[in-house]
Amino acid sequence: MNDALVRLALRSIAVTIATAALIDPGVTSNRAQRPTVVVTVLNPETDASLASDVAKTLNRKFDVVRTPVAAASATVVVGGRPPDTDVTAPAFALLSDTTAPSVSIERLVVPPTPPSESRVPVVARMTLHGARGRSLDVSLSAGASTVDHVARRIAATDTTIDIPLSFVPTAPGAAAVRVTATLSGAKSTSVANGEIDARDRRWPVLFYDPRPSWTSTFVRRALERDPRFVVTSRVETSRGVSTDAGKPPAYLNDLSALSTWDVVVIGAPEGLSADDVTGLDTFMRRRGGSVVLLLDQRVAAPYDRLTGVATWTSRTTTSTSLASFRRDSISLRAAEVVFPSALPIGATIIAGGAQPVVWQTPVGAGRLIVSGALDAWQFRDPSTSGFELFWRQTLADAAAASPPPVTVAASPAILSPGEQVTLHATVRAASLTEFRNDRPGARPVRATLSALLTSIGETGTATAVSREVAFTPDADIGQFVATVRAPDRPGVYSVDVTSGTSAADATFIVSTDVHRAHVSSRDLLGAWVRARGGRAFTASNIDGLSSALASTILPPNHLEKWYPMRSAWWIVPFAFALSAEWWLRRRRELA
Amino acid sequence: MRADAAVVRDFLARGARRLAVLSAANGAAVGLTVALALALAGWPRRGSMGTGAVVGVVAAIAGALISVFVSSGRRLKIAQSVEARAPESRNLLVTADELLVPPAYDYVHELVFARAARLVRRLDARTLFPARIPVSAFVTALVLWLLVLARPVLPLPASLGGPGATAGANGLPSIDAIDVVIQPPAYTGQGKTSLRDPSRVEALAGSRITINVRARAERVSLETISAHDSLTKRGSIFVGNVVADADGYIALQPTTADHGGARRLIGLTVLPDLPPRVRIVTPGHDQRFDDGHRQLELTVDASDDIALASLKLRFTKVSGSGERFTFAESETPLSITRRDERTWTAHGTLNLDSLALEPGDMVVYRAVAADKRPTGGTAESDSYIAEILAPGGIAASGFETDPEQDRYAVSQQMVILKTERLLARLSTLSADSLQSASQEIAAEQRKVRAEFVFMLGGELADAPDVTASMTDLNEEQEAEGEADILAGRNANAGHIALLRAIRAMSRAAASLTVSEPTTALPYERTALTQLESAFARSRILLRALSTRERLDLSRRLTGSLTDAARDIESSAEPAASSRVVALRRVLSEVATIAGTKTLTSSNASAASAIAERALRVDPSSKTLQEASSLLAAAADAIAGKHERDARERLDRASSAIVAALRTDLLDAPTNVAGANDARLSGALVDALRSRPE
Repeated sequence: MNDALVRLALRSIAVTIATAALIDPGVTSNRAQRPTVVVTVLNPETDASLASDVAKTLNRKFDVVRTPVAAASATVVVGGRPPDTDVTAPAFALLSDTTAPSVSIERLVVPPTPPSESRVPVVARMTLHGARGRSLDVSLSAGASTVDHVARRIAATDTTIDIPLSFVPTAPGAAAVRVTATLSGAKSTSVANGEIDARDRRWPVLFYDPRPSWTSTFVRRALERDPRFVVTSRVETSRGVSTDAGKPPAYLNDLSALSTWDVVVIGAPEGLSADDVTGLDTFMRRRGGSVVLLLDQRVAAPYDRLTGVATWTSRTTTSTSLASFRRDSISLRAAEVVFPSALPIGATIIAGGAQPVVWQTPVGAGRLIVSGALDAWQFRDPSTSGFELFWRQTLADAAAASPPPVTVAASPAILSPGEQVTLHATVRAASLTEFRNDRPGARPVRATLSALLTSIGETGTATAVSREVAFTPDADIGQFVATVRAPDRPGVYSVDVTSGTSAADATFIVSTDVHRAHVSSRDLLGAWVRARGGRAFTASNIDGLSSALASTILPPNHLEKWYPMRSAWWIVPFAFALSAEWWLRRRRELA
Repeated sequence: MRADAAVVRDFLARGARRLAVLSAANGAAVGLTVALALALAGWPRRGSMGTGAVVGVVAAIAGALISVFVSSGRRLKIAQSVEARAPESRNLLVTADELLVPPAYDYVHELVFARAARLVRRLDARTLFPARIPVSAFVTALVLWLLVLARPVLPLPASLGGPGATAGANGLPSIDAIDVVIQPPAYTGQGKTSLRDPSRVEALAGSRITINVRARAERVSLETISAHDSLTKRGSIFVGNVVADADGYIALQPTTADHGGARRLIGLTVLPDLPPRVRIVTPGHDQRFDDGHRQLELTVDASDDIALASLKLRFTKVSGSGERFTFAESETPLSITRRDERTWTAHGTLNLDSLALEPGDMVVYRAVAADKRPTGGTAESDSYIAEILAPGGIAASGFETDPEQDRYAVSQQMVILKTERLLARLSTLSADSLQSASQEIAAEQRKVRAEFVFMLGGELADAPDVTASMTDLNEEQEAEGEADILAGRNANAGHIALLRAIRAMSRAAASLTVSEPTTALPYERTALTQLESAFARSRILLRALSTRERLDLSRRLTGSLTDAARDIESSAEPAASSRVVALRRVLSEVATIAGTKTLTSSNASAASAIAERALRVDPSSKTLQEASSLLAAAADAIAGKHERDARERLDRASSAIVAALRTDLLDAPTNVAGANDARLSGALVDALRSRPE
C-alpha cells in the first residue's frame, strides 16, 4: 500500500513538473539583486592600479562598473579630490597612502567688526597630516610685524586643531592680518590672510532700576569704567523721583525710544510693571536687543513671563565660585543664588554649571540674560572674584549680539584685484518685522537701500568716490545682496550703505598677495563623502571599504516577472521522481 | 809712581761709572718695555694718562736700579772687562788693578803702574764701552712707551687705542663699547660690579653707576627717565655717572656737530633696600598686672636684607586719667646677639618697678630697628601694653566700648574654642543636637560681631538678621562707604582689618546657622587674625562719623514733597588708559619701522627712541623691559647692517608689546549673529515652548 502511494506521489511529481514546464508560468515579485557599485577614477594615469585593486576586492560582493549607471547602489571615488560631477550616494573615497607631513589652514575665524578698545581673538583651524611628534609654529602678523606666536607639539598623526591667537588694533580701521603655520618636516608652510576691521564704536547700554539695587549699581560702575560702553541709567529712588545719568527713556514700553540701546539692564526686576515687561519683550523681539535681569531677591513678579521659568530654587551657602562657560577663565562669586529648577527650553548657561545661576535664552530676535547671583556684588575683590570682568565681558557679548539698524558685510573681505566680492546688507526694521502674508490686510514691508563704494586712504579718509553699488533684494525680507568687481588698485575700500536715516559700512581689502584659508583636497574629499553618507579610506584599508559598503548599502529589490520553470535544475527532481518510481516498480516486479 | 797709579785708578773708576750708566739705561729700557706691555694689555685703564706715566717712570727707575745692582759684579771686575775689550794690554791692567789694593810702591809696582798709565792714556772708555746699543734701546723703549701712553690724544684709530674717528664709516657718530661700573652705597659694604655692553643694569637703590663709553663721536649725551646730561670726554673715553634711584633706563647717544648717532639703551632696575623687620617675640602680647613691682623679660628678633645698624626698645609711660594723661618716652638697653650682620636677636628687661607706675597707668613698648641707610631706614614692631589694673576694676581693654559686662563674656577666641569642641564631638551628635549647638555658637559669634560693629559706628539695628541672609555684615553700608575707601579716607589699616574681621565673623555665623561648623572655623580664625592685626597695627581705632551720618533730626519731615525732583547727571565718561594709549603708539611705531623696505640709520635711531618710550610706559614691567631690550638690540643690528637680525628682533619686540597690551584689554565678542539667525533661534524656542507637553 505504501509503495503504491509513494509511486503515485513520485509519478505525480514528475507529471506536475512536466505539466508546469509545458505551461511555463510567469511570477511577478520583489527580488533582491547584487548591488552595483560604481568605481570612479579621477586620475587614471596615477590611480589606475589602485582602482583595479578596488574593483577586484569589491567584485566578491558587488557588481562593479567603471562608468556611472543609474542603477548603481554606491560610488567609490578613487583619487585625492571630489569629482566635478555629482555621483550616486552613498559615496566612498579611497585615497592613496601618504605619510608626508603637511599643514593647512582650514579656516580663519575673525570677529567682523571688533571694537578698537579690545583684543581681537583670531582662531585658526589647522588640519595636520603626519604630524605626530612634530612641532607646529603659528604666527599672526600685521603688516611686517609679528604680533602673536604659538608653538605646539602635536601628539596625533592626523588631526584638526584650533589655534587661538590675538591681535591688538593700534587704531580704528581695517587691517590685513596674516596667519602663517609651519609644521616641522613639512615641505611648505600654510598661509592665510584675513581682515580685521576695528571700529571705534561704543555700545549704548541702558540701566533701569525700578528701585535702587546694589547689584545693578556695581555692574553699572564696572561698565562706566569700560570705554567700549556708553552707559545711560535711571534709578527710581522714590515715586516720581529718580536719578538719571544721560537721557534715559521715560518708559520701557516705548520701542522707538528704547531701540537706541543695544542692551537694557534691569536692576530689581520685581519692580517692573506688566507694561514694562511688554515693552522689554517687544524690545527683544522687534529690535533684536538684549535684556539683562539682575535679581537681588526672588519674588514672583510680572517679569516671570519673560523668563519662562516655572519654579526657582534658591540656595545660600558660603561663597562659591561660579565658573563662566565662555572660553575665558573669568568666574563670579556669590553666596546667595537663585536659579531655575529646570532650565527653560533653548536656554544656555553663562555661569554656574549644575546651578545655572546666570543663563540666557533667545526671545524673538533678541535675548534675555538672567542673573540669580543675588549677592555677587559683595564679592568684588579682583583676587577672588571676576565680578567686574565677568559683567563687562557678558554685557559686551550681549551688546555685540544686538544688530544695528543696518548691517553690511563683504565676502570675501580680502581679495585680489578684479575678483568678485559679494555684499550682504540687512535692514533691521524690515528684517525683524513680523510679516504674515496669510493675514488679512497685511501690508507689505518696505525697505530701501543705497550704497556707495569708496576707496580709503591709509589715514582712513575717503580719497576718491568710486561708484554706486546696486543692491537687489535677497531671499528674505529686509535682506539685500550685491556683487561688485574689486578695483584693480590694491587698497582698502569701503561700501557705505544708507537706509532711511541709518547707515552702515563694510570694508574690504584688495591685495595682490591673497592667501585664503582652504581645506586641503584630501580633507575636502573626506567631507564630501561624509556629506554623501560615506567615508574615506586609505589604500591600505581596502577591506574596510568593502565592509563599510556592505553595511551601508542594501541589496536592491525590484518587482520582476520571472519564470520558475525555466530553470534547468528542474531536470533533477523530474529525473529523480521518474527514476525512483521506476525503481519501485522494478522491485515489485511490476515492470 | 803715585801719579801713574792715580791715572790707572781714575781710568778704571771712569770705566766702572760708564758701565753703571749703560746698565741703568738697559734696565730703564727693560722697565719701559714692561710698562709698555702692561699698557697694551690695558693696565692702567685707557684714558688714565697720568697713572700710565707714573707706572712707566716707576718701571724705568726700577729697571735701572735692578740693572745697576745686577751689574755691580761686572763693575768690580772692570779691569778684566777692559782687558777683554783691549787685548793689547796683555794682562797689564789686571795686574795694575790688583796692585792698587792695597797700594804698595816698589819697583815692580812702579813699572806696572807706569806702563799701565801709558796704556790707559791711549785707551778711551767710550770706545771700550760703547753707549750706542743701551741708549738706543732706552730711547726706543721710551719712545714706544710714550706713544702707547699718548694713544688717547694721538690721531690713531680706535682699534689701536686712539680716540678714533669722530664718526663711523657711514659718517654718523657711533658707540663702540660701554663699560658700566656699579658701586653700591658705602653703607652696604659691597664691592663694585663691572659690566661690558649690558642691555640691563640692576643696582641697589643709591648705587653710583659709572658709565665709560668708547665712541666715535664728539660728544655723548646721557639721558635717564628724569635727567639729561653729557658725558665728560677723557681721551677716547666718555665718562659719566648716574645714581640709581628709580627704575628706568640710561640712554646714550653719540653726537657730532651735525649728526646724532644711534642711541644705546640700557634698562635700569633699582632694587630697593628693604626696611628691617622687627618683632617682639616674648612676651608678644598685652599684659595686665595688679601692681608695678615686676620686670618684663623681652626678646626681640630683627632682620634686614643687607645689614642692621641698630636695635632699640622704646617705651612710653602713660599715666593719669580722663583728659589729663601724661606721656613719657624712654628707652631700655638691649643685649644684642648678632647671628650675622643681617639677623640679630636681642634680650632686655623692662623694669616696671623703676617707672613708679600707679594703678591705671600703662607702658606701651615697641622695638625699633634701623638698617645702615644714611637716610635712616627704620622699622617698628607691633606695640604691646603692660597695664597696671585700677583697684576693683577690670582691664580697660581699650577696644570694647559697651559697659555691659556680659558683652565681653564671649570673645572671638572663645567662639573658636567652642567650635573646635563641637567639631571634636561631631561624630557623636545627632543632627538636632548639632543644629542646636551650632546655632548656639552662631548666636555667640553674632554677639561678638555686634561689639565690633558698634565700635565702628554702625547701628546694630542696621544689620540684617544673620539667619535670614548671608549679608549679616551690612554690606550696603560698606558699599556706601566705597567711595570713601577709594578716596583713601578709610586708609586706617586698623579700621580695614576690623572690617575684614567683621566680615569673616558674619560668614562664620552664617555657616554655624546652617550647622556647618567645619566651614565656619576657618572664618572664625580669619576673624581672630584680623582682630589681632587691627589692634596690633596702630593701637588706635578712629570712630569717625562721616558727614553723611550726621543727621539733623530737627529737619526730618519738614521739607516740601514738591521739592523732590529728578536728579539728572551726564553719563560717566571713562578715562582712557594712558598705558594703553602709549603702548599702542609704540606698537604702531615699531610696525612702521618693520614695514620699511630697507632699514637705515634713521630707523636705528627711531628704534632706540621707541625702546626708551616703551620703557618709560612702565619701567618695572618685565615684558616691557624685554621689549625695550629687543628694540635696543634691533637698533644696534640696524646700525651694524644686520637687517635680518634687526627684523627678527623687531618682530619679537612687537610680540612683547602686544603681550603687554593684552593684559589691559578684554576679548572682543565673537558671537556676533545676524538678525535672521537670532530670529530663527527665537522662533524655534517659541515653537518648542508652545508645544503641548
